[in-house]
Amino acid sequence: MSNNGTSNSQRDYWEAVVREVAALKDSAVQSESRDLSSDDTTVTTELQFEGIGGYPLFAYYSRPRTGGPFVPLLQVPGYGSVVTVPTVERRTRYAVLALCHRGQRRSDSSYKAAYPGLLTDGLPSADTYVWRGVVADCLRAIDVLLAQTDLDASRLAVTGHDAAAMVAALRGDIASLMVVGLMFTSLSSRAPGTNSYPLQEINDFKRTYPSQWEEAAATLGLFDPTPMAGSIRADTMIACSAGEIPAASAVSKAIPGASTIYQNTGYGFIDHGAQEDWLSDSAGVPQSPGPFLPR
Amino acid sequence: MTIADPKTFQSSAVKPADFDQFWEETWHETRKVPLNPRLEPVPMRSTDEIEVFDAAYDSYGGIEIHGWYMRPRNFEGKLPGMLCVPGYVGEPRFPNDLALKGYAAFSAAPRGKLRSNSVFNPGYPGLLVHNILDRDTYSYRGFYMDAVRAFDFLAGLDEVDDSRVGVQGSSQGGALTLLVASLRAKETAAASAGAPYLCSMMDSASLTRSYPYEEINEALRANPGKEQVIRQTLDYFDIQNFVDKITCPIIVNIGLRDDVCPPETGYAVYNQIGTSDKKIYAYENCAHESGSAVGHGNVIDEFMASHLAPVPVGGGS
Repeated sequence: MSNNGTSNSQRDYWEAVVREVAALKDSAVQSESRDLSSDDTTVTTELQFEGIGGYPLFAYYSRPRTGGPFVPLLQVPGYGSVVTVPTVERRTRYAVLALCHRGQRRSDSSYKAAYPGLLTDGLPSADTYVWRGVVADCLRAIDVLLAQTDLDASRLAVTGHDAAAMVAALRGDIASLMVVGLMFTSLSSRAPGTNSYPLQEINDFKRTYPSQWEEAAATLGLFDPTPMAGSIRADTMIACSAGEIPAASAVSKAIPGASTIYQNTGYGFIDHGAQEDWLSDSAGVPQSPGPFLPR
Repeated sequence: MTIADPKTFQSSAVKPADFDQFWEETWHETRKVPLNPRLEPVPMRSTDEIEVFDAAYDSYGGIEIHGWYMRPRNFEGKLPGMLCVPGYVGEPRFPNDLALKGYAAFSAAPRGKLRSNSVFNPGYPGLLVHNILDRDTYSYRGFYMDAVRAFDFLAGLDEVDDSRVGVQGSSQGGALTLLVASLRAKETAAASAGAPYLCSMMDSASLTRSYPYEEINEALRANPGKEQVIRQTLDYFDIQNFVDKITCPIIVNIGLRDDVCPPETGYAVYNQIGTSDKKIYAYENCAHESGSAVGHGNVIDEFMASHLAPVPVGGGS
């Protein structure tokens, strides 16, 4: 991570995380074929591996049966307990790893995330905030992904909400970054403007623990990708709603390389197509035929 | 690709001859378990305007079901009730917005969902095909009862006007909305079902490769020669076979580019709904979100308000 825009505390915090993850690089990964979700053209595998703190993690790994080397794609999981097998339009074109971070189903033997609750779990301390481990899980998942065979690591891609941007800032080897939706970007300032969850969790925390808010806000600031964005080397697209444009723009402008913002129209078919097409173009894979079967 | 005239799609779901008997027996078994409603305050999620509770009740097979219940902190008389039923993989909605709009709002987590999964937890993927070869032990038998009991839980609360209880949800929540409006036809005052799942299930599995219906394709691969058995089980649970009982005012919204719940099946179930007081909103270029990001939320709010007459927190309309 470069010094560009990043405070010393943020840099030190994340460098320690990166070191912890790097120490796991040679640890074992258990792999078991998931025959149910494999077919004539794709194969899906269940992976189990260790995250920082000795945490047991799970991921689905799907890729085409033939035609490699494949573009490796990490899916940073969304905000919810369930991670599903990668979609057919992704698993037919990428070597895609769908991580279940700590607390999500299949990675919940040691800790079960609560919804609402996950966004503030472990606050106010930066040392105990659960998302330190979650971001570390994403970093670890990239190492696990790149250890698979028949990949073109030079075209590594990452997608997901803005924790994906943090991941890209912490690694210099990500070629394509597609951020879909904001979570941590300008979180402390965006939360008071909504009563919708999960951001409302921040308001709940602040109201319930006012004496802890100053420390919690400082911790949340460590997770804001905006000051870290100067370290992102990936070709980047941020897809977001109209209301998220100001926060997304701050991230986008801080990225030194190619970066674009896609404002969602609200028409899911159009937005999904635009996002998948961008990722295809950036990663150099054929465009998706779409998720439909012939009628 | 363009979907050719989805309005004319014919469901292959067939209502079994003993369909009503099966569900009467299921309800009879459910009724043996006392509802045992409980409410525990959740101060951290409560505000000056609304009170939030961790709600629980008991359901089919003695399974404990949880949910989020919330209501305006200050109100006069009785409140209209709004049952929110969840999607397949998403977490149950936290309906603080509905409490602020003046509803006693209950968001249920049927068995297998977080907080209701200590005994029954087939996972995702998994729920859709759990015991799919046996109608008596198939996952959705208890799951459906959990949704019906959620309605009874809400309607039975002292502060709720049981003549003004609505139900809403999307995807699996759309399916459960249709189910509750069918099995609580006299008691449901209004219903809104989005992108309904669990409709024409066997057809859907052949129309998409997206999860969750892909689980059925996986089950077919895992159980060669059992397609007819699977079809027979699902016919008892296909929402297409319930909805002729619906009598309340109802709106349905679908996305015409929905790869998760094919729009053909949305039209098919809509056409089968018993009441004539129904309207479908079919959104071009929308996928599974089925219009929710282009204003359909306002359509639902206005529809429900017209039938249930909530008084928003702070007064006004």
